[in-house]
Amino acid sequence: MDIESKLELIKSVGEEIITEQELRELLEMKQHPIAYDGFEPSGY
Amino acid sequence: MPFGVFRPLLLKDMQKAGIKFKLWLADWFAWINNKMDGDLEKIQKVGEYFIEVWKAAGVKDVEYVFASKSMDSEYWKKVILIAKNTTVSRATRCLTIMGRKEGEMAETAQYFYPMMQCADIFHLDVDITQLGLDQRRAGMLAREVAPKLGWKKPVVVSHHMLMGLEGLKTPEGFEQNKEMDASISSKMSKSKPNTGIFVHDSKEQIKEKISRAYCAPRDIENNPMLDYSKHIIFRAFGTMKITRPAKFGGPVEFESYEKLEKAFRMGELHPMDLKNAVAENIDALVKPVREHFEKGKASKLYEFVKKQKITR
Repeated sequence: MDIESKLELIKSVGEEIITEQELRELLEMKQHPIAYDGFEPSGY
Repeated sequence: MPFGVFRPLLLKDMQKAGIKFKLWLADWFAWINNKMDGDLEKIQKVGEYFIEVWKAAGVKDVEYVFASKSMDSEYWKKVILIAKNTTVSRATRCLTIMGRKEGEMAETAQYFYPMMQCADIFHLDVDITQLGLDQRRAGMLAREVAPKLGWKKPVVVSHHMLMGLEGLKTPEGFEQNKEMDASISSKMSKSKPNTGIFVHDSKEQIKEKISRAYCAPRDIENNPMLDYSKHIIFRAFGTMKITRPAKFGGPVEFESYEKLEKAFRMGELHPMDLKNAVAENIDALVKPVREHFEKGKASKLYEFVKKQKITR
């Protein structure tokens, strides 16, 4: 997948991205950047 | 549904873009936030249940990390370094990430929370924080302290908050930006049962909840049905079929959210028909998760979670 398509996909997930420019640079630099999502286990 | 259906969809799209994921089970955070009666053992068992939900939702190739197993002295060193670089008023502004307003804060432990959440980012050595909009302040704090401490500045990708079934609520002061504040104040939340659909709801329950949900004709701004269509159904299926009797226009298929929204705004799509389609599609996504918990180890975990009082 090219950088533009990756950016499009991530922009569809991020209602806000801080910053898009840094995201672009990250995608250019790394093929597989690491992300995290955190959850408080608090019932269903 | 936010964590059992919506987030797996987002995560899979991020993975398609080449992003690797660490899923952080924030057990100590739930403990600080007095979830599950503030009982750490119960919280950890609910963490096991969460992993089971994501597996059932088809989440693959992620690394699961329990906070309590990962917090070593290096972690706590980061917590202190962040705290030393954060004023008390800045920390106070961050407390909304716990889903509480300033007036609700009573324990000093709660001040640890944003410092810890900020440390997670550096401890897990991530490039991107991908949490909900209600968590954006932790990411912003990380971006502020990173240059002072010589650490990597994360990109903050904040996802949409799914609207509760009752529609938009009065903003409660979680964010300065009015639109964001409204969105966070109106989110679907498991601690407010009337606002949400759950992965264990039967098809009948889903239909019943949706039939009661807010959905005024032609209103495209404050409309949970359109919200779920856009953020869940089109993301999962890329299209949406409406079945309705010939006398009401007959079946129709929308190939994009924009087309659906336009038809609704023009009054060409009745709220009842939209609701029926939303219920069918949501049920199709909930079904594999619901069925996964009907047998084996998963059913025992669910039995345990069901027995607990959800404290907030």
